[in-house]
Amino acid sequence: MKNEIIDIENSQKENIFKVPENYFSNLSMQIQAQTYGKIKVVPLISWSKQRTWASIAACLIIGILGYFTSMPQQDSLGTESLASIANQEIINYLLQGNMNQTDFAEQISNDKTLKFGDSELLDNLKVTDKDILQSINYENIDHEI
Amino acid sequence: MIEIKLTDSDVLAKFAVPETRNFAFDQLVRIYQQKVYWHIRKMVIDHDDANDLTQETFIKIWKALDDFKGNSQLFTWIYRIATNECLNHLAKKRRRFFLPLNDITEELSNKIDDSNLISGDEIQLKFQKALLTLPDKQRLVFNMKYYDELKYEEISKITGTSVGALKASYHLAVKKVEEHLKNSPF
Repeated sequence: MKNEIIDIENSQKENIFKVPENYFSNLSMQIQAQTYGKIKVVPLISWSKQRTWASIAACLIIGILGYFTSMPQQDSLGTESLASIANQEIINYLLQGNMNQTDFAEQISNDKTLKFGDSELLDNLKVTDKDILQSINYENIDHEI
Repeated sequence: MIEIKLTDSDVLAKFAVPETRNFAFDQLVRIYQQKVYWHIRKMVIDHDDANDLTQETFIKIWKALDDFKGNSQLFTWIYRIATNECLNHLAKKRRRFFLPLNDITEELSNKIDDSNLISGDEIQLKFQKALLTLPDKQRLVFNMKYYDELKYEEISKITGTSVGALKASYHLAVKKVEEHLKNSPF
């Protein structure tokens, strides 16, 4: 074989490869099953970008509304906070607060060294209109008038 | 049963119509399945691999046929898809197992010896093993020229390689194989 000139191009071409019986008959069916024969799974709900963004926006709105609804008001302690404190304690606290303000007012008027303008004095009293109305003795008003 | 044989333009025209799409594709498969299979089989050697790759090729054809613009012949386009499937398969094999070229050659060579779907006289088996020593693209060109008897111009459209380069590659491949056979013990 070593000295022999091998001429591939002019030698007989043979196919040494074989296929199983009926292979090509079945091949087209196998291909069909994977192409147009494939059962298409159609989702019940089709999802789109718009739907995704709309869902996110809706969740944010609900979350924000929920937050503001459940958040306690700034000027209110909330009923749970006050529930643990006895009523008498609350009354005492309020009374004590009022006395301090009254004493402060008297002190200011008697002490010449303290220099507050009238407007400043009134501002520092922290007396609301409601407080004034509550302190007025309605029985005496008619007589005075 | 009379077998209807459609031309490429018939197939494309019928494929474009939803009502006849499946029929057209079925005809396309019948026309090209053997050519595609044998083209792949000669490259990958193993029947099961060739079967998988042939089916993959036709699945890709099914998905992409709407986009076929007719810039080339349908046959050329189909062959190009099949060629890419082969080359990608062989490249993946090498990467997966980190095998150098010789080991892939040895693996394919062993398949020639062991498979019950490969039979031929000793010279033919040696010849196939000699082809396995060629680089994949060169082997591909050799197969298309030697076995499929395609013109260089057709091979050029399939591979994207110039006719001149293909001629050089083929003649070099022939020389290598002849040398290999001359030096191999019988």
